[in-house]
Amino acid sequence: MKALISPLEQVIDYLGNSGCRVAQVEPLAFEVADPLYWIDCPDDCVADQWYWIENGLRPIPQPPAEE
Amino acid sequence: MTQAFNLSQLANRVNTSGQLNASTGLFNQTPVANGGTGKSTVTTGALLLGAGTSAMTELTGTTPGTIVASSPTGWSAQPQASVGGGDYIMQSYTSPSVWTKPGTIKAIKVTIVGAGGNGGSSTRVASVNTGVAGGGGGGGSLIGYFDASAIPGPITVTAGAGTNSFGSLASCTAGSNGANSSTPSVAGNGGAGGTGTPSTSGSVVSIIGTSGYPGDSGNSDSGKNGVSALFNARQFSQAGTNQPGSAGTGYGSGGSGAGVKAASSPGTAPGGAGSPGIVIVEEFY
Repeated sequence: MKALISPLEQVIDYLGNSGCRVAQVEPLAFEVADPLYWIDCPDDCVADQWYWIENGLRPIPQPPAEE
Repeated sequence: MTQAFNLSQLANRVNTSGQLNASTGLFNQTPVANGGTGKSTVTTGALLLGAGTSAMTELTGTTPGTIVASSPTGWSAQPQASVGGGDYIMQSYTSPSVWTKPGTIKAIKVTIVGAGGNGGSSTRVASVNTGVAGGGGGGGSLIGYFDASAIPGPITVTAGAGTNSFGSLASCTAGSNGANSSTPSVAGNGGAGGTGTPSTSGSVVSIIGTSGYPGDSGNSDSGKNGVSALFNARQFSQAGTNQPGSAGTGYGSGGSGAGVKAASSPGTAPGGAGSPGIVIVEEFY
């Protein structure tokens, strides 16, 4: 799978960490304009639920559920 | 005798104020040097062009597609195609395609809108009501102008769902999906708007789509959808229980979030689907 990284769209998690948005996940990449770019991603990567942070793709951490 | 006769004939063309009747008193065309054209007739519809001290010349144009164009020797009638300019073709794409660069093109204007994000859904998983879901974000927008020299050749067009793109020249990402609501009564956040990516090969203006709205638990209203900046479509929210979100309208609009899913009606109320994006290519010749 391929993840489309959008460096212009910063995602800030609840801990205050900032990463780049995963705008789309597709089996095959298609041509896009800079600064968008594609990288290989795990099959369970989901657009807008993962972000590119510290040179790696990671799920965006969610705040603990309220009691 | 002859001279006296001629003078008397001329006098017949002069009024009481001593003015000569130009239509009957002159026997030749007024030369350019005297402020005339040097011509006795002018073809209907023709333009007169200067020719120094010689009689003016005519520029006629009855051939369709012929225009008056400047040249090193002055104005002349030319086929429109030989001087360029004027022709304009617009093509729009709502599904993937390939744009072929015409050989005579001078420039293009590209307008792109990314798809809208989907509204969040509302699923009851316990015996209490859910919250209200967030609206999907609007797609990013972009308007770009590209000179023919900056266009490499055939361009892959990606249009419709998700990111919309005109090859590597310009792209717009889709709006994010609105967050689902959850039990107990936690509202979902609205999705962020997508954005257009600038390009160094042309003049580009990019505009971020508006974000979807979070659900409003206090009033039990679901989140309104975000919209694209170029197609400022209608925004919806769902009041009341068990209401699915509304689909986005136009291009690049998010779907609205689903309303509260009541405990008395288990299951899922889906969010509204975001509307697709579009790529518009305007060709200038």
